[in-house]
Amino acid sequence: MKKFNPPKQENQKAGVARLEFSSVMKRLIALCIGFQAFAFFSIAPVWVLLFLGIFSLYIFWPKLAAVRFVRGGVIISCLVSFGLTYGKAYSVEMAAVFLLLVCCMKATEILRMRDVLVFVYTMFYLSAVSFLFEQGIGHVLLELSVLVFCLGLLMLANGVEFGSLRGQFSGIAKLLAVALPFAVVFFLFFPRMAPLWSLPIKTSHAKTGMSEEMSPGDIADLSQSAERVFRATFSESLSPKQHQLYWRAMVLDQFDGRTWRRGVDRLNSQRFARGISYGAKYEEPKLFETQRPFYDVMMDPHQERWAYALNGSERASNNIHEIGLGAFEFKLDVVSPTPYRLILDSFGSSVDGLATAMKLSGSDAASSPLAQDVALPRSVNPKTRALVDSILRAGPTESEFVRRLLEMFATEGFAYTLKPPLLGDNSIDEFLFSAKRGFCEHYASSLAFMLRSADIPARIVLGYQGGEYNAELDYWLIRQYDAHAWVEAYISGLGWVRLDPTALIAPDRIAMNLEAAVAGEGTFLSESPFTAFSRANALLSWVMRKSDEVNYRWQKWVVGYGESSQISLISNLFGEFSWRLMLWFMLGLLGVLSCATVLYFWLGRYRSKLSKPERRFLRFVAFLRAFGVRRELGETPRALVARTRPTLRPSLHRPLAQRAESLEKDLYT
Amino acid sequence: MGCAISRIFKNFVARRAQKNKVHELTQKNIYIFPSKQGGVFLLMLLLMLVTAINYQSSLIYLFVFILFSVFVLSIWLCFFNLHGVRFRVDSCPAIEAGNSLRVKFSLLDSGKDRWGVRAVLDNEKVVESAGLESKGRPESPAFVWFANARDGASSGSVIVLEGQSYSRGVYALPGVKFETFFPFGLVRAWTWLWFDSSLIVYPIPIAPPVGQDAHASDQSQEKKYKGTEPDDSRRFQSGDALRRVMWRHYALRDELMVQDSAWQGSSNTALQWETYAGFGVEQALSFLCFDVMHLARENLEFSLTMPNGEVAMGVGAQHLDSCLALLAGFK
Repeated sequence: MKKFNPPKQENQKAGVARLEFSSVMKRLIALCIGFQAFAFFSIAPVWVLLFLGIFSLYIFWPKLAAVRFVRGGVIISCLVSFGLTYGKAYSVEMAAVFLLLVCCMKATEILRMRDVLVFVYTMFYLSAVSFLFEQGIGHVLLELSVLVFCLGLLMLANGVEFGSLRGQFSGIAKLLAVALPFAVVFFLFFPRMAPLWSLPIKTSHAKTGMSEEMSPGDIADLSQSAERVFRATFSESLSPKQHQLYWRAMVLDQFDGRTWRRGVDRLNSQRFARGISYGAKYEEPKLFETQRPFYDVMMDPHQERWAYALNGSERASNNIHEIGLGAFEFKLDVVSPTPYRLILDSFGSSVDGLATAMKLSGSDAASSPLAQDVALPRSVNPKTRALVDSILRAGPTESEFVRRLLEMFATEGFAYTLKPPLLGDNSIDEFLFSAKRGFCEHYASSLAFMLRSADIPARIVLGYQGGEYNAELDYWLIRQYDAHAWVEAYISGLGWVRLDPTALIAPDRIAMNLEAAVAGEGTFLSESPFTAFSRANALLSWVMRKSDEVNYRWQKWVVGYGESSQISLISNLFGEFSWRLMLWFMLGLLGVLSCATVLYFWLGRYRSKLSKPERRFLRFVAFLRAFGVRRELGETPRALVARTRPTLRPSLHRPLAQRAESLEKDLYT
Repeated sequence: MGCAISRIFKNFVARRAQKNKVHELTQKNIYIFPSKQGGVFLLMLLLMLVTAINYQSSLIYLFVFILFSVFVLSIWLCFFNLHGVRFRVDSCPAIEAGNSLRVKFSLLDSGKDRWGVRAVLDNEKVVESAGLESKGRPESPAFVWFANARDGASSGSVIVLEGQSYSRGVYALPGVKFETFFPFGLVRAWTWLWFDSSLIVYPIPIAPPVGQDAHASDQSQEKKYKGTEPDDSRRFQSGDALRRVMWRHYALRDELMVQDSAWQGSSNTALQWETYAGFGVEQALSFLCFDVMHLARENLEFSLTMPNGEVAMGVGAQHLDSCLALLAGFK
C-alpha cells in the first residue's frame, strides 16, 4: 500500500533539518553508486572501485561518519591516489573520474534534503559525461537505470513514497514511458548546432589497436583480438573481393634495423603544407552526395587521428583530410563512432609478371620518392645485405630483382605463423636465414629492407586486410585480427607498386582470412578463449552477428545522428529542407503529443475506483452474460451460479463453482 | 527579491479573486512555476546541452532531452495533483482575542490519488493541520494530505488549520494557500483561496466586579447568577416550545421539564452598553463579553444593545454568535 511520509516542514523551506532516511533511499543511493561504478569500469583505475565501496559503507552505517579522522583519512588517501594516477596531465577522462569520486564522496555525508539534491544532480551530469567515453547500447541502459534511481531519490526527498523499491520503479518507469516520445521528437528535430568553443577531449583511455610503429611480433599480438575496428559499406557499382581490400592506415618510412616508424618530419611538413592543424574544432561529419562509386566507413573510436582508406580514394566527406602518401586523417582524435565517405573509381590494376603486385593510383601514386625512402641504418643485418648484393651482381632490372625476391619467399620454405620466434638485433638476418617462421610484419619488413638495400625506394604500409561480409545488411566488418602489413615499392617505369609477400606464403590469409590461414596451427584467437569459443559455437556466433547488426544500426541511427541526418530526414519528409520548417514540424509534433498526454492524465483522474475483488466480480458477471445469463439484483456469486447451473454446459460447472466460492471469500470476508 | 515578487503577485491575484463559499481548483486559479530546485535543474540541463553541443555527442543530446521531457511532464503531474479539488470552509468559529485562529476546511471532491499537498493559512504560518487519512477501500491508494493526523480520525476529509492570533475585531478570513511539489520537487503548483466568511475575534471575557454594574435592575441582577429553580418548572406537555425545554435537567434526571412561562418572563436580561460604559472601552467590552458568555452557557434569554447595533432577545448558539460579532465589531 502506498503511503505518504511528510518530511519535516523545515526541509521544504531551507533544507536545513536532518532528513529521515528510509531504507529505500539508502538502497537507491547505493544502487546509483554501484551502477555508475560499473559504467565507469573501463576508464576508471581499479582503486576507484575500492573507494566507491568504502563510501557506500557510510550509507548503511552512518555511525562511521562520526569517527572524523577515519573519514578524513579515507578522503585524503583517495585524493592522493588520484594525484598519483593522473599527475598534472589534464584530460576529460581525469575530470570525469574526479567528478565520480566527489559525487560518491557526497554519499558519506548525506544528511539533508540539499545533500540529496547535490548527489542527484551530480549523478545526472556524470551520466552525461560518461557518454563521451562509451556509446554502446548496454552503457545507455546502465545510465538509464541510474536515471531511474535518481528520480526515485528525488521523489523520496519530496516525500512521495510508494512503500517499496519496486513500486517506486514502476511509477517512474511509467513516467519515462510517457516522456520518451517527447525526448525522441526533440532528439530528431532539435537543431544541432556547431560547437560553441573547442574543448580538449584527449583521453588516455588505453585500447587495443595499432600504434604508429611496427616491430616484429606487434601485429601478431594484435591479431589475438576480435574487437571491431570499423565497418564499411560499398556503393552498388563496387563489389569488392576479399583480396582487394587493403585498408591503409599509415605509412611507415623509417627503419632502425628492428622497428619501422612514421617519419615525423615528413608527416608534419605534409600536414603543414595542407593546412591541417591539430586541435581545431570538431567537424560535424557531412557526407557529400556523389554520382561516382564510393564507400562509407563507420569508425569505432580509436582515440587517434588516422583514417582507413583503400588505395586511390578521394575524400567525399568534410571530416577527413588527405595528408599525402595516400593517407587520410582527422583533425581531432576519434572519440566517438564517426562516419566518413571516400570515392573510389577502381581497385587498381595488377602488374604483369610480378606476383601480388598492384599499381598504385591516386594523387600521390606518381610522386617521386625521397632519399629517406631508401635510407637504412648501417651495419645491421649484414647477411641480408650480402644476399642482396649477390643477386644484384647478375645485373637484373628492378622488376627482375623484385621478382627474384618474391620467388625466394615462395619457394624457400617460409612458414606463416601467429607464434613467431623472438628475434634479436639483426632481426631480418635471423628471420631470413634461421627462423624462417613469421607473421606478415616479418615478411613485409624483410622485403622492404632488401629493396632498400638495392636502392629501390620502399616503405611499409600498416593497416587491415579483408574483413567479414554481412550479406544481410551489406557491410564489411573489420576486426583487429584483420591487421596487416605490406610493402610499397617504387619501381622505375611502373611507379609505386604494392607488394604483399604474405600472399605468397599464406594465400589463404588474403583470399579468405586469418582463421583459415592458421587453421592448422590452432593459434587463432588462442589468447582470447572466450571469443574463440563463441566463434566456434554456432548459436553464440549467430548471437554475436545479430548483436553486431543491432550495434551497426544503433551507431548509424542514434550515435551517428547529427545535422546531416536531420537534413536528409526532413528532405525525405517534405522534399526540401529549411531550419524553419524543421522547427515548426517539431513544435507541431510536440503540440500533438502534449494534447495526448494531457488527455491521458485528465482521463486518469476518472479511472475506476473499484477494488480488485469488485472488478473480478464484474468480470465474472460479464463472463456469464456471454452465455446468456443475467444477474438479478442482489444475487451473490454462489446464488447466481446455483440458479443458472441447469442452463450451462456441464464442463463449466466445476470452474464456475470454484470461482464463485473464491469470490464470496474475497467479497464478504 | 523572490519574496517581494511573490507578494506583489499575491496582491495582484487577491484584487481579482472572488470570495466564494466553495472553491474548485481549476486552470483559472492554479499557478505553476519551477521551484528553486527546479531552477537549478534547468541550469544543469543547460550546462549539459552546452556539453552536448561542444562535444557533438548525440547521446548527451538524447539524455538532456529525456530529462527535459521529465521536467515538462512533472509540470502536468503537479497541476493535476491540485486540479479538481473543491474546498469549503466548514467552520470558522469566533475566537477570543489573542488566541490563534482555527479553521476547518472540508474537501468535497477527491476523484483520484493526490500526494503531498501543503496548506498554509495567512501566508506566513502553518501551525497545525490535521490530516486526512486513507478513505475508501483498503487497497485503493490513500488520499493523503500533507499533514499529521490529529483529529483526523473522526473528521474524514477535513483539514483544520491554525493561523496566527488576532486582536479584537471582525476580519475577512485570510487567504489560504494550497501548494504541492509533486512529484520531483522541480515544479511548484499553488493556489490562493479567499473564502466568503468572516472571522470574529471577540474580546477576552473578564468577570465584572460584583455590584459594579449599577444600573441593571435588581431583580434581573439577582436572577442572573441563580440559575433555574425547580419550582419555576413544570412537566413537558405537547405544544410547549422546544426552546423552553430544560435540557440540562433532562440530561441529569431523564425527565422532560419546561421552564414556566411566568418565571421565564421575569428572567429576561437586557444587557446594555451604557451600564458598562464607565470602565473604558476594552474593559467594558470584556465585562460584557463575560456576561454574554455566562448567560449563554446558562441557556438564559438575553438581549444586547450596543451603539453599533442591537441583538434582540433570544437564546442559542446563533444568538451568541451574533452577540459576539456585535462585541467584536464595536469601534
